[in-house]
Amino acid sequence: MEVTAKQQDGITILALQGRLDATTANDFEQQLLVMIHQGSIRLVLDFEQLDYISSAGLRVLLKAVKELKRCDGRLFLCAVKDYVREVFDLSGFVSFLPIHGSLEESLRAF
Amino acid sequence: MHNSVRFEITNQLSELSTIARVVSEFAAAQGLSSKGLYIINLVLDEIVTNIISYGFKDDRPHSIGIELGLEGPILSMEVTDDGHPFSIADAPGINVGLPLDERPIGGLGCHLVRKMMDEVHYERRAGCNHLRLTKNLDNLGPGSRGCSIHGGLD
Repeated sequence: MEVTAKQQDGITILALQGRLDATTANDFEQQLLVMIHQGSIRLVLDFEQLDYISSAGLRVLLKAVKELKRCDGRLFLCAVKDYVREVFDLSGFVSFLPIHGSLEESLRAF
Repeated sequence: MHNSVRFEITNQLSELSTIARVVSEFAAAQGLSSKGLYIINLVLDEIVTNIISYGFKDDRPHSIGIELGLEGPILSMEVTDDGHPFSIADAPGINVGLPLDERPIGGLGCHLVRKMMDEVHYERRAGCNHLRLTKNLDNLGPGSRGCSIHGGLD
């Protein structure tokens, strides 16, 4: 999985490309937690190019949201593919992990 | 029309890419939607990741058998392994309505498998775990349709 990071108006945008599964989740978790601990506490994960996520990926997001709650941060997802969206509903993540249709919408929501 | 494919992988997480490749070929040959493809990948991934991570106490290589079949709209899958007895059908459920602070980190994989499949049937036979799953791919709409679970070690 490829992760591309950029900053915009104090918000960190991470664009994910490929597969977030048990083989890529640990590296991504490390990367995300390091960023949060270094002060990137306003985050958007852009899923437009993410083809696949499994529960290993969902666990990383859950850990990140828990971590961010402790330091008053926020995490939004955007541009999640239709066929991927259902796992967020089935997991009950929608109550604490807002999903927006586009990156612009996520950026406006801060 | 009935079409099936059977393959084996070893107990290494890198084999998830083998599953992705075979499933993708199967989905293309059967004309399945992106969602159908995703569901097959996800369910097999969750089951196999679980087997590889927790199923074996020794360091020997083990093979895991996977069979995929499609008869009309009915998808069937079977996963066979010689790890210690474990039924995803009987794994403890999780409460997805819990607030963030109380949400456990684990248990999501089994939950997703059960939610996404119509039937999950487990059998321990001749020292192997046999997990058989079915799903009607005509019912792929979003929503929280229930599923029935049969069998298991209870």
